Amino acid sequence: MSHLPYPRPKSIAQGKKEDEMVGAFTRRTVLAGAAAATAAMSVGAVDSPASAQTRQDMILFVLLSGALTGIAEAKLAPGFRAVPSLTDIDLEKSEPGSDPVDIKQEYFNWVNKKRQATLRRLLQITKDSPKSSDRSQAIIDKVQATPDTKYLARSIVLMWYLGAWYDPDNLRALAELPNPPAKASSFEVISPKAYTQGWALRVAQAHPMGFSEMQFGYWARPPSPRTDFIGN
Amino acid sequence: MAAETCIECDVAIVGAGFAGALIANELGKARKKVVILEAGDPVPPNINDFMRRFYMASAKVPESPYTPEIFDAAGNLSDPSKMNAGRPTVLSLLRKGGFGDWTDPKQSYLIQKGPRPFASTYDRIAGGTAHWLGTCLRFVPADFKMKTNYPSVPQFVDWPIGYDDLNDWYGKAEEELGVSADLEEQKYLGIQFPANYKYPMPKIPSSLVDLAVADALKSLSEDETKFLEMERPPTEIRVRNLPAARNSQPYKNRRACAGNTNCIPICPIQAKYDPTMTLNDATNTGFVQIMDRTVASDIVVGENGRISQINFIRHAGPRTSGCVKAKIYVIAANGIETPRLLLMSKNGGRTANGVANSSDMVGRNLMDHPYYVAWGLTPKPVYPYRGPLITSGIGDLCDGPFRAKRGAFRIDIGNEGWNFVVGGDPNVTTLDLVNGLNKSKVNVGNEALFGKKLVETLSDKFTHQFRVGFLVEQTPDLDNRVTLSESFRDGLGLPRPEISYDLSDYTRQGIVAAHRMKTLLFKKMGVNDFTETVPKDEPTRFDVLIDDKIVSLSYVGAGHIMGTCRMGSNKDSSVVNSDQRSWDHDNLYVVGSSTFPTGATANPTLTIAALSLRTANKILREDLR
Repeated sequence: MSHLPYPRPKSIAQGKKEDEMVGAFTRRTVLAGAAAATAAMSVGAVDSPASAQTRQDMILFVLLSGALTGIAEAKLAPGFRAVPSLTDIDLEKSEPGSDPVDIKQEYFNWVNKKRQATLRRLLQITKDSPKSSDRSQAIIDKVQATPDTKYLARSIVLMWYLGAWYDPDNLRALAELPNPPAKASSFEVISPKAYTQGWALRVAQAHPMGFSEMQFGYWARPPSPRTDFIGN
Repeated sequence: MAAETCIECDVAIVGAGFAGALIANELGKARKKVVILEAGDPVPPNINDFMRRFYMASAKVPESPYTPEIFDAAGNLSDPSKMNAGRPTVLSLLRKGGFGDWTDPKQSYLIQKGPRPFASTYDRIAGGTAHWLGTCLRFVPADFKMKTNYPSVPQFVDWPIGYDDLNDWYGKAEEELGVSADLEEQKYLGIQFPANYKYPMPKIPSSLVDLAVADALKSLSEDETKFLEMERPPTEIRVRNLPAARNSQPYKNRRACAGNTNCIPICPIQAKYDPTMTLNDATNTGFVQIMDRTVASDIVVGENGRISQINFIRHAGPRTSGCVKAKIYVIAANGIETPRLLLMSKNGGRTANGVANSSDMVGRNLMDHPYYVAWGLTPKPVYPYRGPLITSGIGDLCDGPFRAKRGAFRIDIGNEGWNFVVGGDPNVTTLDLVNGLNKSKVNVGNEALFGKKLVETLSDKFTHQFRVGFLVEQTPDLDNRVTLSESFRDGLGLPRPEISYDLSDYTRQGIVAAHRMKTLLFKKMGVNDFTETVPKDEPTRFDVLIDDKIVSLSYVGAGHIMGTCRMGSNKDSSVVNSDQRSWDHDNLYVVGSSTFPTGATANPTLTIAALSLRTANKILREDLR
């Protein structure tokens, strides 16, 4: 077994400070959130370091994440349940999830701290998306309308897939500049828990390297179908 | 240091790695008082800190779980001139002029003089280089008789011992490490086992990747394999399960492998053996003491030519110095740190060329298994990233008449997809497909995907990823050498190792044959080849003429550091005898793969372990009776 040189790593990517204006979207969402405060109480208080985060925010965050990643919401957030209403999803009656790992909360907090305003816009896009079989596609199409939402959406996908934070500005530099600076390739593992919850290799019917929940000898047999892993 | 303050014991060992731990344990069981001087940090009470460091590392390189920290607070490589027990890392093997410049002493602990980089690394911590794979191959009998068998290659020498001398010791080593293997499958190229011998555990099952390779080999023809000059039918080229110090069932209070696909850098459930386990046994005897953060700095030779003490520097808290006096001294500090210590020990000029160095062989003949790596996508899914990193290989090409002309090779079949070949998958390919890049070369249209399309594309790429590696035999060359740097020191003020290294034509021709074998194997498997030619300024690159075309090939390190204190049958041309005892100093032993006269193609650990147990037995029977 060998040692191959990796490309330039960076132990700690410098997280960009919140530089977005807190605008009308945020204010409106916070107000909407206040109305759902009672409902949120029933599932326990949530940690909300940067702004009021409601039960509805979390439901929207999981819906957004499901659309962007292509992985079933109930896999991303075990216990998640979207209750349909006449026209859409009933955000009051839906369940944001109940698993003890609760990586969604860590991710929500992370993004909320780094890019609160843009996150609010992504949640609003999710809320505004129509009920249809193509709800996911509608979200995907809308997030790509502006660079801010597009690159944050990509950061969120990478976060779920790799448990790591790729800053949206870095992603933009990598994608748009002919010679991006070396630091644009840097990323930061969010936490040990996040690493073990990564989906990239579960999509490949495997597991994050160094975190197998399977038993001796499983590798000698074909894996279970992909749907067993990702629910879609 | 005043002699009266020295710690006293029966045996002083420098280095708490594989060899040091095994010898200490044997001696401790025999109630001999042992002190181990370990340069690095102690054995932790559990591996939680190692795991946290691994999880959080952006570059999950072999050294990533262990101390010292690879990066400083500013995110640069830690400055080796400030480290008490520095070590090389694969991140300091990169191209000149930038991050990780292999020639920059501010970034590279090893002072690499070239012309090519020595590309293997090691750790300095109690437990040694525990980021090993676990492969436990025996050498084949011919590996011990290279000069006799292949006299046309001037660099080759014979070992002073043969396979039969080690057969029982291999068995004892397999028991201690806990090796899983199938006996019948390991009988090839003359390997024999004692009557009624059994491996401690049944084999680790082969992976689906292994089966795909095995299938493809079935249709090899005489004509296609002519270039190998093996003079045996191609049906003898077969995939064999690899013996591994990895539990296939509970063994010595450790669990069976759960296929974490992470043997390197670290097994999260310790199903893979590492020397911390033997160190625990050793200290539990009550006769073995490990002094961590204690760097041996000087081996003192007494008037009678015997070693009288070893001086050390402790860096646990405020720096102190001290010494240890013993009846017997064992240097077990790996193929670079061992010659470094011997060379540093000048005894006020009485051993101006270093201790144990009347032959001038200390530091010479540095060898690795230059590792040629290739990767591609298979036509059908092979489901990598499952199981141990490697479960099978092709070993039948490690000896044959071709060895008169070019290096032999063994083939590793990777179960970890493109994890380390494209710079860190799954991250690289995922980033490509999410952000419209193409570093992996699989995203030709620079598509940026979301949702179902992303899932399908990623799944398709990952499940077809395939890579092989070829461990190539390297000649022992006098000028491939560890010396002491005159200009660069570590944090304790000790001279850092300076390395001169190149590949002989014989070794390069081994890589050429490996390249041809790769082409044939990929053709048979229908693999779409993604192996990249390294850039022109990459120091591991060399150009060769193959079928009238110039082809650029390169190598990486296998982590197998061998040859710098070779054993032999006379004192003029070797450092130690077949017992690993110094010719010059009767109470000094040098152990580990530094004593290998030739390197063969097998991973060296099992042979290190067998030789160590044999040496411990000699010490008990001949020196400490």
